[in-house]
Amino acid sequence: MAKILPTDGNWIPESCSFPEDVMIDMLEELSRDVPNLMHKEYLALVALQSKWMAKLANRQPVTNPIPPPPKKPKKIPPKQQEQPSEEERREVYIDDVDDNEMVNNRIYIPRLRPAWRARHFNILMRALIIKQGLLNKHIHWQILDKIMSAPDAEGQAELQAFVDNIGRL
Amino acid sequence: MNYQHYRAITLGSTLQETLDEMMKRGDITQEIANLVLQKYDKSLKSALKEHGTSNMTFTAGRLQTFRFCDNVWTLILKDAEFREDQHSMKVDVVKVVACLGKDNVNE
Repeated sequence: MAKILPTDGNWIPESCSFPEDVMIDMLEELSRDVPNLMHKEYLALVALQSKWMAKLANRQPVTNPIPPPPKKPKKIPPKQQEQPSEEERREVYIDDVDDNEMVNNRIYIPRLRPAWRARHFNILMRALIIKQGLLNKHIHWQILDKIMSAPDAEGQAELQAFVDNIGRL
Repeated sequence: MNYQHYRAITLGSTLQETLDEMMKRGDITQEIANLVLQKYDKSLKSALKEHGTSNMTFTAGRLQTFRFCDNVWTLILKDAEFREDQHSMKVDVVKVVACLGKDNVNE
């Protein structure tokens, strides 16, 4: 007998017909082996078959749910790396600038401690401070730790205040 | 010899319930009901022999209990998986009742 595969994924036809095969065979055997069956008893057996089938139909087990199809992975377009916009800045030679002119100096602080990340701060200062290297003379670990552990805006403000104090000296 | 343990399956239990209801209404006698059940035992055994052609393999994570009494094995398996070709089905608990297949008197 050829193997019957599930047609709708839930029930195998072979399994569906099994109860009916049992019922038919049972009733045929009864009719054969009980020759003196009364008409009333024969009708009762016919009623038995229909009631039995109806009861069985209400007791069918819940089929294993068919798992949902796997979700197709969403195609995420590759992130377009944002090209850093070119900053508008004018570079000048510090020697060509007047001592008292306020210049915007970008101060880079490398990763001197493991917890730091390389950062830069744009600080406004007199050209004289740069010319005389006053920042290098006065900078210390305390201010560095303070600005490097602070958020960008706060660090910027702290360093600006520090440089302003140097300018007043 | 026809075993009666197939009376506990859904097919058998629905038959017994139907017979009980019909006996209460007086549609059939106890004698006929007993005869029906005996025929059921025999018919189910024949149907399994003729129509039960699927061959499945199964494995289980654990054999929780095993019992052998009166030539009947009763096993309770946990975390079982049934396989037939590429189809498989997992079941938390399986109770296996295994009886002697051959009857020396009647076969």
